[in-house]
Amino acid sequence: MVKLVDYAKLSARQVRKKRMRVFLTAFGIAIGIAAVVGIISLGEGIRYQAIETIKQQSDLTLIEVTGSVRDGTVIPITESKAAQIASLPHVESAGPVYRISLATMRQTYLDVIGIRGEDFQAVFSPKYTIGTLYTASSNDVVLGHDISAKLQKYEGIRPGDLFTVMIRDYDEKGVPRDRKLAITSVGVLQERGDQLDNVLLMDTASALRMVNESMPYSAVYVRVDSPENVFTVVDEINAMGLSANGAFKQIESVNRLMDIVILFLSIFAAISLIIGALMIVNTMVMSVYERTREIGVSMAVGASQGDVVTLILIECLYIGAIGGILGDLLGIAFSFAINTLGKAYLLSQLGDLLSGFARYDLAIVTPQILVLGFLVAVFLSFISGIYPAIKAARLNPVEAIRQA
Amino acid sequence: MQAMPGIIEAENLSRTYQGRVPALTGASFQVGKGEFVTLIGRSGSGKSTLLNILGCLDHPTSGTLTLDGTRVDFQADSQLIGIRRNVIGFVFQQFNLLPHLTAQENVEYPMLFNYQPPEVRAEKARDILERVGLSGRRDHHPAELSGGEQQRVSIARALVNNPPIILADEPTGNLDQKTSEEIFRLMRSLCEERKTTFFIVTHERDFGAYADRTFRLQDGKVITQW
Repeated sequence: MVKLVDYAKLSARQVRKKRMRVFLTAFGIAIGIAAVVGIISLGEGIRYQAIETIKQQSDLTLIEVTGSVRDGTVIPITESKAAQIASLPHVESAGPVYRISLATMRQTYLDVIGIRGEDFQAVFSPKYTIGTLYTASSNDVVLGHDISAKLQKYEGIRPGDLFTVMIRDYDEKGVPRDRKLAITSVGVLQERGDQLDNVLLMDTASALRMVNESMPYSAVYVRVDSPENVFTVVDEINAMGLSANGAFKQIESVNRLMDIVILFLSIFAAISLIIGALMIVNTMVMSVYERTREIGVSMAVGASQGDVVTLILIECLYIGAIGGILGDLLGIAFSFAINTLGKAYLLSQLGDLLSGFARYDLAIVTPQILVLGFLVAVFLSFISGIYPAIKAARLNPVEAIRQA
Repeated sequence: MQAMPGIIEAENLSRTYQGRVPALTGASFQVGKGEFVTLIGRSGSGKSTLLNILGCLDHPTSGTLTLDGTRVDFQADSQLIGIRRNVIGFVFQQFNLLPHLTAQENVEYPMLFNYQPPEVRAEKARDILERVGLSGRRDHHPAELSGGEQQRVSIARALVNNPPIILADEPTGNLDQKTSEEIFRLMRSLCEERKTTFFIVTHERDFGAYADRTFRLQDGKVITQW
């Protein structure tokens, strides 16, 4: 350890002696690092905005769990699975549902969700324009905003009305036969902007009674306690062999897209990093060549090949560290330029369209990105130093000393 | 065979470089502890080759070499490093000081590879620089020193690890007559004080007067001159 400290001091002198050369070489790496830092922070900034927008515009903490097909076997949502989902950590409430289809006498198709009243309240926190929730086991239904308007307009069915619907059964021969049932609209939901606008809601027991047979749940609606925990819950659900859907999928797509975009842009930035690394190789090979005699003398007075390699590599680490810090500073400057000039330009071009962007920075530089940039610079310099270091260590001391 | 083993024992040392006339063809000699020996010979007579072999920088093609009781002719390079660190000190014609280090640091340099703590390095270097008469020039860089002073620094560097053998390759080749004599006087007195063996390659016969013995290298063989 003491030895390394001494070597570090010795190498520092070599670096100081050739300040300009070291600075220029480090600058080569720095440009690459700045490009990487700038691109990643821009990418992360755009990712952040996209996700924030999704969070604001959609109901992120709602997950729809459905059965799935695995290896040709259908995994249904049984009563016990539904209970298991409800008891997962971070699940605030869960409502297992049956989906059935009905039609009015005038052939308007109705999608029906059978869900227990208390689950419906807990998961969806519904607001009513008229009326209220159905009671358990009744033939009462709550109408979504749009379907209610449609039924009223085309069939004259108003909130509070009792009306007849048909359900289609098939007999043993597969011949369809329609049964008629009477239901009462007891409430209408306020407009929500989601799928509930177009469905009828009723109690689970009523739904089962209508289809006249038992069946597994069609889905479970899950309310997660906070947006941060959505993916944890989704993972748990997937682990149970069920599939999950919801607004979080949009975030997944954004993440996938941004990962690819950042990766591709980084490849271009990496090209400049490679050039920077080659500059280090070149500088160090030149430096070894210049110091041939010095290296020979060092070996004559007792430096081993390992000592020579260590000294050269430490020198490269200095260049890398300088390059990393310079690169981080340039990257911060680059991001700052994007956030001031770039954003002003974007807003002037796109106007209100991107008014949401005005609140956020376009490029977000995080400490992690800076640390990553620094480490990449140091690592690359280390790699670049290996060839010159080995070249130096392989020098024949006799010939090295003789060289004028 | 002598009863007392020499500090350098060379027997039948040969060195052949591919495609060239053999540089050494069976050189045999012994140097005792604390002896001051000069080696003369025409240019191209193999002086440097012999010195490189003695300095463990080169291997003999055949023959045996024992330094301070250790056979070194067949050792692996990694083991020869230990010999170079502890048994041998080098003095070069071109001084070969590191230009960006001060006199003090140049003398400390070999101890760096011997893993001595900084305080020990500084103290030893101070002492030996004082001995060669350069106390006042410790913080000067080689470029600020005269040739004679640089060679003194170089001698101090060679001695700092206290090796039993100093090998010098025409140490006064780049110096004027007066300075050369000073350097030889210094080496001679160091040899007597410290009982360090000096093996000096030189082309100037005049300095034979300082030597206990002078060898001549002729046709790849060592002939004891006087």
